[in-house]
Amino acid sequence: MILLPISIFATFILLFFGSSVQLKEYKPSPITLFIWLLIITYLSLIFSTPYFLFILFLSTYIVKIFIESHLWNKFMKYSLYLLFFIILFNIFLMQNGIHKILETSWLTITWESIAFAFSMALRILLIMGAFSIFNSNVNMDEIIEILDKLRFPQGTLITIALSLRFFGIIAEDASQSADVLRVRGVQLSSGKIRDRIKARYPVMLSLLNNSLERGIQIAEALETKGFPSRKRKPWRRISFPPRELLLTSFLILAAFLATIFLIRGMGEELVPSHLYHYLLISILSTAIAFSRREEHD
Amino acid sequence: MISFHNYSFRYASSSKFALRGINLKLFPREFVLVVGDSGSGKTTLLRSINGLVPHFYGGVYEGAVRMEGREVRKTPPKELLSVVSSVFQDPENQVLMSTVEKEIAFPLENLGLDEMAIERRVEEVLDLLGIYHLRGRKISTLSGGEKQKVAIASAIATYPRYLLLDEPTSQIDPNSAEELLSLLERLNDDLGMGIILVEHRMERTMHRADRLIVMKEGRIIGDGEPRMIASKIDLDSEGIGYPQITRIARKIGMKYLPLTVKEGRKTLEKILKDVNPQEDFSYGDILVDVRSLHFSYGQSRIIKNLNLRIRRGEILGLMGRNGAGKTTMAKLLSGLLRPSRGEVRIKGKRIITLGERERSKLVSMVFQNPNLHLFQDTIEEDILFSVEDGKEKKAEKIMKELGIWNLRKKSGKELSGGERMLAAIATIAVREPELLVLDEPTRGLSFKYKLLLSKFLRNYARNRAVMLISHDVETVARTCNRVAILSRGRIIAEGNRREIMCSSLIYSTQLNKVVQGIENMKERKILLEEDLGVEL
Repeated sequence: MILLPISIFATFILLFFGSSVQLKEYKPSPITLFIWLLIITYLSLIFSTPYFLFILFLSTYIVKIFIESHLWNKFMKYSLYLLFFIILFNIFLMQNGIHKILETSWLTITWESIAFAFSMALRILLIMGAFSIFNSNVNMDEIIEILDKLRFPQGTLITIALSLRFFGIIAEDASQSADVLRVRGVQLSSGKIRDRIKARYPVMLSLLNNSLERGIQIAEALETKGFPSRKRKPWRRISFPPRELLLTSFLILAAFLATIFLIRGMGEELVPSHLYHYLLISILSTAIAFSRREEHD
Repeated sequence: MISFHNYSFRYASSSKFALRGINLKLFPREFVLVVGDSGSGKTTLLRSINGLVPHFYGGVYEGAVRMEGREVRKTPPKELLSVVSSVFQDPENQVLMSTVEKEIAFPLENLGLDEMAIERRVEEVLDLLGIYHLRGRKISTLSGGEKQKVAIASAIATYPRYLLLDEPTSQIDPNSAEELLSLLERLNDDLGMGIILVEHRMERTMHRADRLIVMKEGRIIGDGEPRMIASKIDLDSEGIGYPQITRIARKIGMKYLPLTVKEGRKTLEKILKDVNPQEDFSYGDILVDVRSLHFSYGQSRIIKNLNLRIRRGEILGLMGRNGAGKTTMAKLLSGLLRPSRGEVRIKGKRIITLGERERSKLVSMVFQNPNLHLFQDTIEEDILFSVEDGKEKKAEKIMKELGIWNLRKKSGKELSGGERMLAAIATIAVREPELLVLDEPTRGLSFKYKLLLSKFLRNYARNRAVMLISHDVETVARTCNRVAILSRGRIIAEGNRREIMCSSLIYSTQLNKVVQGIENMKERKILLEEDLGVEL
């Protein structure tokens, strides 16, 4: 039982005092990071015990210390707002469990409900943390290259690349279209909700016109740059050296073992059995191995 | 060689031929400048070379265009890639990948080059253009000028024999534009790459070209050495314009027409010594009062402790490099952004506290992208959108003043870039705000339209005020009575247009640069042709 408050306490220590800790910056291989992200997400979904989720979070935090993540603080800040509601919602609405802490005529708070609420919160933190590290270190072109290595068709990949590249620009167009209406005296932020929605209709028209024009210009640029081409040979910039192959094999093994343990029913207790320690140590040491790898180009 | 034989082309969506009876030969290693009024067929000429016409834009195609012996009509653009490359007007829409090196490699990947060859070319092109430091950068973090350089790098990575450029400097500041054009000159001189450039800004480009092609209504009306063409054809009346000093020399009947500042100094020195114009504008009451204005986007401070007053009757030109904070300033004045500190008052009212309708009567803004203003079926409907009843007469007057009355039944999509901008200005001016803010309204405008715009704004500001944000120093000098220069969120110079522009090394007219270089003449505040008695 003591592990739960320790985990909660340690998580908040990491959240509030760990944001500025940065030992050394590395640029990991996008492929390794991609696999790591998938595994962390997978493990965070299959485990529900706070203790394990905390260890996973700790391992993510260790990765963050060694790999620069400029998005970490931002993601964690947004997660905190979410956590507040998730924890409150689960503690007060989930009244199951036998270890009662408080019982009134209308409210029962149990250790189990706290553990569940904390598990959900940790999951969010874990996924957000892992994505913040991934997004800080892998750009869109590298994601496309990873998909290319997975043999996605070239046409689809370029479409994805263009969509991702222009997503922000189109969002900016939408915001500017609304601003154009504002300077023309259209009331977008006052009046009834129905009227406000109606007033925004020209934003859609303007966005559509503008996107059409942009689309034509992009298509022109693609055409003059020789796309589509049967001769096309992608220039792969991301490397995947043997050392990283070993590392990711280790990660995959950890995920595999975790699944086996869980199938055997060994992942639902609040207090872990000694078998789990192997798994936790393996994930942690993977994280440490990860952080000690040499810098790429 | 690129050759046009009795070539005509009409777009499928149009009843009028965009190009008619073109006979033209373009040789490798030439620097060719193509000029013409809006809708004269310049862009279609480039599209006919790179194969976008007829492979991307279908239509009626007559005659033939041949490139290095191959007929363009029968050769898709991707097969012309190693002979000709293109750079378009808007850097945002032609840079497709998300990092610099991937963007440069993109056409090479399409050519099927192996990884070693791509690596080598990317390295070489980055070095050649002096942008190696941008190699790992994300496209979204680059300035407009940097993006345009990356677009050129991507275009020349295929080692083309001809580079086609359609108004590549129209969206970048004067310094970046100068760097970019010098770069083109270097590609032409050092590598023998043929440059075919469409541009409106004659003062920047005319002296660099070996050959000037003048187009009008789809035909070529002049083709030859720029100085010769400038003396034969009246480029002002064709709506194209001259560099200031060339215009002056031509109007006063000089046989040798100067094209550069250096040439201008030699030929115009005697005339300039007799001139020392002074002016004193009178303004009305204070209309706009900006006090201790601060604004930040996240961690970066964009506007820092800015104070500014604009009086009735004033046209304030706001200049500065890309990223100096000019657009942010315009949005703060228009109440679209909330200052972190400080306030903007117009007619004594705090602008941020007002609702959209009330605010739009006090201040309104024309955005850089005119397409955002035009979304109805006709531009007449666009202009009358969300305007109080009874403004039809006013709308008609504005459209006539801006020269777009004949276009009122057309949709925005059917207009040229310059015409769209004028229509966008009309959509805001018809509301008659006390302060009219325009953000880069001269982009894509030909000389003829710039003159119309200047005249319109001077009339508009008689009992109101205008803030004109522009990189176009000639238009600012011709239109504004006061000028402010913004740098890193602060106003670093502000005052009468002559005081500011005549003491600036960058934000000054070509004529003033001539004056600044003549001994003992720096104090003479000569800016415009009118100062020498030359009327436009």
